[in-house]
Amino acid sequence: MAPGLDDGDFALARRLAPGQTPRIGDVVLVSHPRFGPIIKMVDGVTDDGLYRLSGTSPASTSREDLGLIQPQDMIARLVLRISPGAIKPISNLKDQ
Amino acid sequence: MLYSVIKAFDRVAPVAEAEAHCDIPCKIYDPAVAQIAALSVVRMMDIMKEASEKTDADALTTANTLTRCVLQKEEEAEKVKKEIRVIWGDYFKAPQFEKHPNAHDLAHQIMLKASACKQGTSRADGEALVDLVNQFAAVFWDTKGVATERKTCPYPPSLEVVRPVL
Repeated sequence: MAPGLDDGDFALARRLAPGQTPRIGDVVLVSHPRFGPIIKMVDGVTDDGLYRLSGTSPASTSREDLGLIQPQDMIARLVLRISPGAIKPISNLKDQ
Repeated sequence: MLYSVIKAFDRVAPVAEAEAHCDIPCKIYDPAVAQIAALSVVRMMDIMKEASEKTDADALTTANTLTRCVLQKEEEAEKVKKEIRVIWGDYFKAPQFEKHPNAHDLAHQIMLKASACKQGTSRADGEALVDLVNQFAAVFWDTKGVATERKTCPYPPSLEVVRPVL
């Protein structure tokens, strides 16, 4: 999810407690029904409580392809990025 | 430092992997599209040469053919660049580069040669582009442990292409 994460980076994630909801802009680990475990940004929440996802690059998979995600498939919120040369906190992308 | 520690730990007890891919992680990569596009570049050059040497065609028809070929040559050369870029940028990762450290240079050479094919009409540039893309295809299939063979394509421009033996 360039420029956020590079291939091979490690990420520390905080598992979402039952009932805990991610905020728009959070970078999350999702158990995607089609793509398996993926990391994306929370882009929005529908009135039904389903999550829309997006990447941070213009080349990202479209919101339509990623579909709507059930709350139970939202696994964790990423908090730390550990790359070969740097350790950086992963903050909410909409807060920046 | 922390990265190295985790990396070492990951070798012993692997942590779960998650894709944060920009495109759909479909894992479908094949240099065949780039190879066909490179052959098409040469074919366009050949048709242009034939059209320009025709003495019985009227100027408008010749101009029309040449224009179409130039546009198509431009498109096919750009396709070569895009397809190679995607394989190089999305598929190739550290293990592939370790095995084939020349992949960077090869990809770059293809970019330059495809641009040369856009700029000019030299068949030698077209043939060199096909050759470079063939080399890239051989490297690609090797990273997958798939053997390759060289076959002459059964259609113009009848050049040799590297194919996987499946």
